[in-house]
Amino acid sequence: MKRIGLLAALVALTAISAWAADQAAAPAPAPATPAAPFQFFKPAAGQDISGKYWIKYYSAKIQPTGGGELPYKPEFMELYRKHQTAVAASAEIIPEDQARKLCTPDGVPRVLQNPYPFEIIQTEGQIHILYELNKIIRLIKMDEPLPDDMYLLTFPYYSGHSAGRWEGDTLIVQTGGFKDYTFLDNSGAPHSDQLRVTERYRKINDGKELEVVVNIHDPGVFTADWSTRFVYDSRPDLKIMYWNCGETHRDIKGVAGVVVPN
Amino acid sequence: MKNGILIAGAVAIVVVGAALVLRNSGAEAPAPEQQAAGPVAHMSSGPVPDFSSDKLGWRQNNRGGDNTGFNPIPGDDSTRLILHHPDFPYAQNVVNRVGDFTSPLLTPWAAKILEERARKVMAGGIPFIPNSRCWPGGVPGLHFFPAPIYFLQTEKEVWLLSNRGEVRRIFMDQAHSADPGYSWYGESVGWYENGNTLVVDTIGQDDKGPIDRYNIPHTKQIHVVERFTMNADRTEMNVIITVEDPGAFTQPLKGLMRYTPATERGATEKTEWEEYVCNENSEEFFIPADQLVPVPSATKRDF
Repeated sequence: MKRIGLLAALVALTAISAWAADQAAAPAPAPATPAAPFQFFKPAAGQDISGKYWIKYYSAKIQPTGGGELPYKPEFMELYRKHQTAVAASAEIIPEDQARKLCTPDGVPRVLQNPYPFEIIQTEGQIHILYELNKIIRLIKMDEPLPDDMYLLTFPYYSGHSAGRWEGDTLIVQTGGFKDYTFLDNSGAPHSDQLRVTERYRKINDGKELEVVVNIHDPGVFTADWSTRFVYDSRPDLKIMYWNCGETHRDIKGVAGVVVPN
Repeated sequence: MKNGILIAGAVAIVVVGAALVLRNSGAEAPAPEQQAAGPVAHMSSGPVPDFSSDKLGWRQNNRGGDNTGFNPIPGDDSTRLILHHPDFPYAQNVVNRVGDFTSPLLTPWAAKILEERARKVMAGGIPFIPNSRCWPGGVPGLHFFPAPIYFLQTEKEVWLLSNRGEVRRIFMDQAHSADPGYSWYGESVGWYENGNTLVVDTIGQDDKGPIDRYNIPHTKQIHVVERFTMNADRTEMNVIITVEDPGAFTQPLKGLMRYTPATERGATEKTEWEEYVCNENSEEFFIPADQLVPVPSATKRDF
């Protein structure tokens, strides 16, 4: 009997030791609630341009403020005319126009004139503009300056690299570092890798519209800077649709100025 | 003395038994049963977990497991996966995957399609991998694109941006629409739970793409629930993925994808989102064109 009791105690003590060792090795389970709950970003008063937008008037050829032709150097005006002729010739896509053929990003400012909706998302330190067309993503860094010219030349993006800041109720976005084989508009306007674009975004008409004033600086192809302007309707009713190249997309016949090829 | 030893032994056994009970009662409660898609909105409860601040990116990291496919859920016998066919070699081959078309989880319709695709690969054919040919991943396929993902969180909507140029939109705290139609990524609605989980419910995907790199087909009935659960110090995010599709599967599939913060190799800085354009430079010089699915392209302008 005594031996049975001793044996039971020995077994129990062995089990306790093993359990204690097991507890020491097992990782503590992660607590269910994180230490700092997430806080949604709240833009400052007058600096909320988030939402969904759709262009009011579409024009295939970008319209410089004050009218007239784009101030191209002669050799680039010749190239522009060549593209315009090819684009106007048929509904087929010209080989140079990768944005329409392969749905690569349109570049800036061409993407601003497109007849499909887009959305602006403001979060801490950054603004994203997500375009339905070609599922283009633009990132505007709000807490970093634009990279230097060498970086922009070495790592160009279709949509360029963008840095933004607020001046009152106006978001100012500076963009550089573009791939030089995009067009400036849908009529085939060329540019160089020296392109720098400044956009000014602000709500107008009691917040029902968004205005974007664009300044184009490209001494590689132009004799002078020039500017243009786009206006969009605020459309909180919209959902941005997914875009797969070559498939049927949203009906845009209702957008003023759009001509849908047969 | 004799009685004292007996008593000590009995007490020790009781203590050990109690400890074992306490250990089991400290185990996590099982996950709630999957909610069926329907018109009722699921509302978030608890604090909002932070998937996104500091521009954090998340990269697939299954710790030696499959970073471009489903993984089993450790210790969870409700895992249901269709993986590599056991009779064929290269079980760990990332590219030339041969799906197990004999799996009882497949309906006869799905098994037939998967067998065609699998035998093509075994005969030396090139498998279709959506991200390699610039096609959408769909849900859950986007998890198997080898690229970090980034969350954007606002009160009404959450976006997942992939570093492969893809965008998913999740509408928060609302029901599915009455007629979401069919699209590559369907319609996703979401809500938060327990202060650490984002639940995403997706319906309305069309049947064009496979669900994963084994090229397993699905129908328009597909219904996917993802539970993104993050640990307290934001160093790990586990996604339990459940895929229902009575047209393709005899039981819901269920597996895991694990993520850790995205970093460049050998660095501690976060990997930033970068513009990635799959369709550029997509010419193929070594594989005959008839063996490849063409990249998406357009021949006529929309405007």
